[in-house]
Amino acid sequence: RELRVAPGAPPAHPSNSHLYQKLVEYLPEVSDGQLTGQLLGPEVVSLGQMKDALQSQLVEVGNILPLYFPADLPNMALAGELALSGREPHAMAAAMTEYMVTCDTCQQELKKFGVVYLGSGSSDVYAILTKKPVKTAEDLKGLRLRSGGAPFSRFAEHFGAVPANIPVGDTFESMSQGVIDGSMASVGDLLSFRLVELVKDVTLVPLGTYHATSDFTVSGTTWESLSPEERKQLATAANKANVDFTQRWGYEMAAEATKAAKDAGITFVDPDPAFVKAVQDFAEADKETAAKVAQERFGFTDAGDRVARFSALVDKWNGIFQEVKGDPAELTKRLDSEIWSKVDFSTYGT
Amino acid sequence: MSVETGLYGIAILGLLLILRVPVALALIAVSFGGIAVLIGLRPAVGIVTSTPYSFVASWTMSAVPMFLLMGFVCFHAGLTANLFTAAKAVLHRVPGGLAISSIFACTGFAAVSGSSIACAAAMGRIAIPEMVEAGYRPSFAAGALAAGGTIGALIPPSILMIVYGVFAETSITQVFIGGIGVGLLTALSYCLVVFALCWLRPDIVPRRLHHDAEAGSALAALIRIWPLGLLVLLVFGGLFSGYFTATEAGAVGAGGAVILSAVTGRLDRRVIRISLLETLSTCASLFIIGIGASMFTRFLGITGLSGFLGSFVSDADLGYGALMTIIVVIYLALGMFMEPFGAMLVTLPVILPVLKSEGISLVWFGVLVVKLLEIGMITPPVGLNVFVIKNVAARYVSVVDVFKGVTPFILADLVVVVATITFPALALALPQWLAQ
Amino acid sequence: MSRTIFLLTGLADRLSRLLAFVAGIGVILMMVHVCADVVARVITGASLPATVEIVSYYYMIIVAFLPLAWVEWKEQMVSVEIIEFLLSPGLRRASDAAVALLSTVIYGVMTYATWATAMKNFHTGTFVVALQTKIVTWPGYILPTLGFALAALITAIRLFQLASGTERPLRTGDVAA
Ligand code: NA
Ligand code: NA
Repeated sequence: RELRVAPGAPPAHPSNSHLYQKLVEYLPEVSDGQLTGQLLGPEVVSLGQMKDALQSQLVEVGNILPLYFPADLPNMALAGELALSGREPHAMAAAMTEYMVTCDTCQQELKKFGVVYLGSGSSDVYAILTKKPVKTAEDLKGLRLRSGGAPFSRFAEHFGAVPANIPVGDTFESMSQGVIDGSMASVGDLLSFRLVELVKDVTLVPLGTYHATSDFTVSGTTWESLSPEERKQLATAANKANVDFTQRWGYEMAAEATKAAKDAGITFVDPDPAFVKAVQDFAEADKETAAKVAQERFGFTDAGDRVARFSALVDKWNGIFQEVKGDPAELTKRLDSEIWSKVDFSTYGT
Repeated sequence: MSVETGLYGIAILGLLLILRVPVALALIAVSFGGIAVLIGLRPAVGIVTSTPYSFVASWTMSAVPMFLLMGFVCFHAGLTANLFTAAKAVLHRVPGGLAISSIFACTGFAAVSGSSIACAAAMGRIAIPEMVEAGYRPSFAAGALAAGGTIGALIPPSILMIVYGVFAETSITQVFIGGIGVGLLTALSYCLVVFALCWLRPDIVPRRLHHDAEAGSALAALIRIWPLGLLVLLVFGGLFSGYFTATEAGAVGAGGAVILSAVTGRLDRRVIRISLLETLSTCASLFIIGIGASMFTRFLGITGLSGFLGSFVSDADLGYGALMTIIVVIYLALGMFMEPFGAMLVTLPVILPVLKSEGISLVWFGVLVVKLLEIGMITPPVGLNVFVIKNVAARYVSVVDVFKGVTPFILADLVVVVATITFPALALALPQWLAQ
Repeated sequence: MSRTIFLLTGLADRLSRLLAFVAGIGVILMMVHVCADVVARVITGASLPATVEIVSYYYMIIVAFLPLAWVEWKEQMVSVEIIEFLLSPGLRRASDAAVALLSTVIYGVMTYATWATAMKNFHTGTFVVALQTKIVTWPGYILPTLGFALAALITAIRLFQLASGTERPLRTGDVAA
């Protein structure tokens, strides 16, 4: 059985190279060649078209970014609101995965959407990429910074910067024109969106992660047609690729981009300790805001409990990450034993 | 998944076009049918569901209606009427002077517009009527402007180059600078086409203007175009001072044109009505073709076109000449049917690895690929620049006329392509010199 | 029957004008909104909220789809007329009828497909978040359906007129007529 799979991103992006190309590689390995994948590139299905592509069976397994569909996936959007608490990409990806697999309302949302969820990944910890150095909270005042989501906007406004709402593909043009002074983004964006040519300074304050992803979203019709064994095989391959993806996006790419940035003469600014402290305090306080936002926007009456549950899972997986010393193979095993081995594939997602 | 289905699709598309089916609907019908055959009816409906909305709901695309509106307001309010009086007065001794000035105007406009369609649209409405009135053959005038528009994507800013830079992970700035050289070379080659035709076929390009202006009126004419001068200053000045982006430049230009027409007393109900109607009719007919082209790209993507093309270029024994010939042929062939972004997404994943292993400069290739894709904007049967020019000059030409009119310019383009491949310095000298 | 067609023709004429009028307002609003955004940014340092979203999800959709019926009404869809000179009046009429039939079918399929999506988005209450503002986007999804449906009606009327020999004289080439 060949599955049509689509990352919605070009080959250089880790969600293509380390998520979907790996899935296509792992599928026959875990299924004795019974399951294979045909990869459809972004020219066939872009991220914005993924919902329709999955619901119409054009694509059978696809990469969904809930940011594009917040009304459909409120629980994922809620977890996305908690971006600022991200410190360890692997822990965030795992917490997100456990949260989604084990919560009933999440599963109901996915069912309504017509899809089945098979795990998340995470970016590296976002940084402030600017044309002039940001060392203290004072330096942020008045800077226009691209924001990739509501939590980053709240961060910018709290520190007196002006968040700018710009499509990610327009970041280069806007920054080169001087319409924005910088971006709150993954260090990897220096390479992915060529900001390395424009940015002069990088400030690594713990800004949080982008972890509200649904890496492998299986069309409900396809899932129905698979036997419990095949579903388990698909989930096993997905779990391995999820970890590869986070290892790449959250760690290796950030390291490569950092090196390229240093070669290009970009300064890595040492933030003032008081600034770092202020950022951490804000991130902690922002959890309450996130709960309030989720309550107002999605009508969660128990938003506070959900935030607490997600935070507890982040703590749990931070602990596991320490235990296994960040080893990806060990993490894959722990994700399997803690989450996927407890899933009954004859009923999951149906 | 089969490439044969894709080839049948292309053949049926050609047939439908010959049978006078509107371009947009032919593209949509073939894509829908093709996907239904390959995967099934439900996915085919899925493509129809998502493509129209996702193609149009785009911030960068918003520059197109805005630049169109700017061009139409300038024309109908008469802001540009004196421009060509001035051009005639200044250039009346230059053979093909009006065509030359149109090509220069496109080159200048290229520096504020990120896309080739916006460039062709805004300049076409202004220049073609003037040229026809001065005795140029309408098909040639339309062809000159359709081709002139392609300079818009070669000279920075350029949306295509940004997308290429992100995809190829190569310096956008360097590709931009490389584009200046090839953009200017293109303009020069177009001027040579004008001179050549002027000499060989005075029935197409008049050697002298019908009415020689007196020398004294040149200055007077130049003074009378001050509102237009102010508009140019506003758009260029604002863009280069970093007040807005190339996407926003269209709206600023349109706003400026409206205000300048109003303060000079030339904006009335008729001007507003006709400018809006022309903007809307051009946008709607252009966007529906864009939607069709985008669906067709999705269909060809599903057939496995990318891997099929890869099998041609991945042969390790190919020399530089053979490899480049194949690449040029691939882009010219795809450019006939596909829109440039789709053609880039389909080809780059298989071509870039080969270039990297051959040690070919990705900056240079970026310039070349944009040039090749821009040729596709004016080649039959699906040439977006030709369609936009047909729309703004519907009074004078048919689609087939415009395709005829661009033919000499396509030949000039091919010379530029060969020159760029033979002398990579044409694209690389400037970025390398600036990098030192 | 012919009375129905007469009424439908009048309706299609008026509706396509109305949609084009609304689209004209959309063009003006897009221009004013983007200019205001630039001015606000230059003066105060901050942009107007959600300009990118409103331009992409409203003005652009309005400008692209609402005038479609009007373009069909004026018979200004772009086609490549290579065999025009080969056609006798009778053949031309048959060819026009075939094109009108195919167009009606395609617009019909597009109406159906986009309608289904519009309903789904309406029930979900689709929105995006711009910075911290919730921008409702579901109403925009109905506009393609509106444009395609009216375009289908117009090509269907043309098909009927060609079949019954009551077509109005062609008015091509005059954009603003
Ligand atoms: Na340009
Ligand atoms: Na073409």
